Amino acid sequence: MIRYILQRLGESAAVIALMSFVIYALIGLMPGDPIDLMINSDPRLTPADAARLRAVYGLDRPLVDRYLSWAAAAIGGDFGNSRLHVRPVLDVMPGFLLNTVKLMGLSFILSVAIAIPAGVIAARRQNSRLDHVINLLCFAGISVPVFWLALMLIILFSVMMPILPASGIASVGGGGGIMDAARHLVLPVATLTIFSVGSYTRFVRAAMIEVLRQDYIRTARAKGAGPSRIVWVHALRNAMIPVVTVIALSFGTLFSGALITETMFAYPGMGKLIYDSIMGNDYNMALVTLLFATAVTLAANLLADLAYAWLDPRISYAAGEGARP
Amino acid sequence: MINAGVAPPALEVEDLAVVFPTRRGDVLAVAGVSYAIGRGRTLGIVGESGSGKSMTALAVMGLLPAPGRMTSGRIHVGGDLVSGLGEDDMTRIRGERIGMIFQEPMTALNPVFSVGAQIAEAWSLHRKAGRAEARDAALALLDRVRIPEPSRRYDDYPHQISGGQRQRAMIAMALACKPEVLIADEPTTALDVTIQAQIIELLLEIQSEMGMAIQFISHNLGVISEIADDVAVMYAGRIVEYAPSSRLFESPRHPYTRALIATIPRVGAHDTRLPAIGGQVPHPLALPPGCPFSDRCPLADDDCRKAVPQLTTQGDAHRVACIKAEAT
Repeated sequence: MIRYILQRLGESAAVIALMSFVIYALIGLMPGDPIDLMINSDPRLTPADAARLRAVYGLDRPLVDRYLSWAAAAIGGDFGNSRLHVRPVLDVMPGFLLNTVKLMGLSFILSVAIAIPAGVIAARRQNSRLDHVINLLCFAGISVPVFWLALMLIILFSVMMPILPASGIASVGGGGGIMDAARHLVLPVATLTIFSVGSYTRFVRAAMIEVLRQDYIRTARAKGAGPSRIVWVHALRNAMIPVVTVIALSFGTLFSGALITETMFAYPGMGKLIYDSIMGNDYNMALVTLLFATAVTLAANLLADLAYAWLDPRISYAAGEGARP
Repeated sequence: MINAGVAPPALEVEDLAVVFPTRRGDVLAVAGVSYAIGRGRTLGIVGESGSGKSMTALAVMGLLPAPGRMTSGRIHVGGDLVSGLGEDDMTRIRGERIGMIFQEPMTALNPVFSVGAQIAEAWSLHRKAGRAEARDAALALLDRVRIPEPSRRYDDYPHQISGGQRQRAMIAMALACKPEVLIADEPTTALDVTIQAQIIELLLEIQSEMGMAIQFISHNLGVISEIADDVAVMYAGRIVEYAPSSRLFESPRHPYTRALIATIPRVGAHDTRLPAIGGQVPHPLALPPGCPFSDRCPLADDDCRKAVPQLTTQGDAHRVACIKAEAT
């Protein structure tokens, strides 16, 4: 088991190293560079100054050269300075990361907490009116674009009925404390939850319907287990096996949903940091934040595989034992 | 019906009918079946796929798959009427008074719980006791069904033990609460012949100890002959012949039963071709008029196609639903 985890971590490290080059190259291929922005902000700069600045920042060197020197520094723990924040990248990121963890964590917990009971109820009463209502809501959530949903929520709850703040994480003038922070989280969390809960519910429903048809459910009934015990004990654990995979794989989607949500609500999280650093040609920041998003997705996949083995005794990652059917 | 002083049969089924509504009409899966099994006795129910033998069993358990439903019939367990009970009452009876084992022990056991835990659950669902007692009970049951090293096997998952052991675990689970009736639906069909014999031996041994009635369903007459005291032959949702086992095998009266017995391979008869029953089981929506076996029956004539023959007896325990059955 430990060997398996170490092997997977090694593979993940290789993927991250490869991705660092891909992202570095893509950023390098973006039109414009920081010097262009400097020129735009200072009309007195001459082309000669620009060329000299490019040489100072190393931007005149070939892409691979630049990547290698970045990689050498990165291995030493130096990820460079953020151009926009004028501080080391690793000093800036934690604050934004914490905000995103709050946003994504809350909406993830909320989504799962809604999706499991809703999916189970829909599966138990397949084709009932309740099932149809749940399905309709799911498809509405899946189909609505995140940015539009965010706009609608802002119009409804910040403009027409001004009961919730439309942006940021704290009121101007501060002082609100936890309640103020919570009020600022409501709309972004609601947006991201509506974005993800529909597909989760559909997955839970499909898996549950499949499991409730199995022979062992009939066996459980034959030995006198009641309906709720059948569903919550005998069926749920089996149904969770495919659901866990799908949810973990959707983590990347949740992250990109968070990017749009944070931008819409001017919420200072990783998504907004990525967006601003790309728009502002903040190379170092964009690179590290995008790599971080990659690492999160890889970690989610690893956790899904471990959860798999925990839920399903037929799956074992122990060395030598091999996979059983 | 039940006389004071006379112990009622462990299981009594009267005029059971099961219908499956389909788009093309109602399918009568079980068409008026009656039988009784006394304490410590075994009734073998034999028939081809689709003859209604499994549906009879599931109706007794109250576990008919949707959209199937009982349209008539009364089911008594130990003299108590259990048909028509609500789901809560039926849940209390399943496992406690009627146990059931199934054909495929791999899929019938939950893959994510250990074998021991599943047996312990069967016990504790009907007993007010703690985890430790349930575990002890399960260990005793594992030992009772002759699974070696119960304390080590307790934590094994179904995929880690053999098919024969899985079926033993199923038996332990079904008998955890010492039910009055055990329904065994093709319990040996998925197993090797040698394991089959061991499972039958185990069932008979536990039966002599616990005294439960067994309803043993199989398409295999050979297996039925080894275990059953009485045999009911089913065809197209009806019992066509019902007799004590020895009578049925020595002097079958129904042409269908005779044909079935003729198809049993015999040791030493290498040079002869095994006879087969011509034709196919009729589609339940396209039954021939009168006797459902008439279109495959060598004896059938116009009289057979006039009315469905009823189970009748010539004054003994041997009942047959055939107007051509000769008295033997």
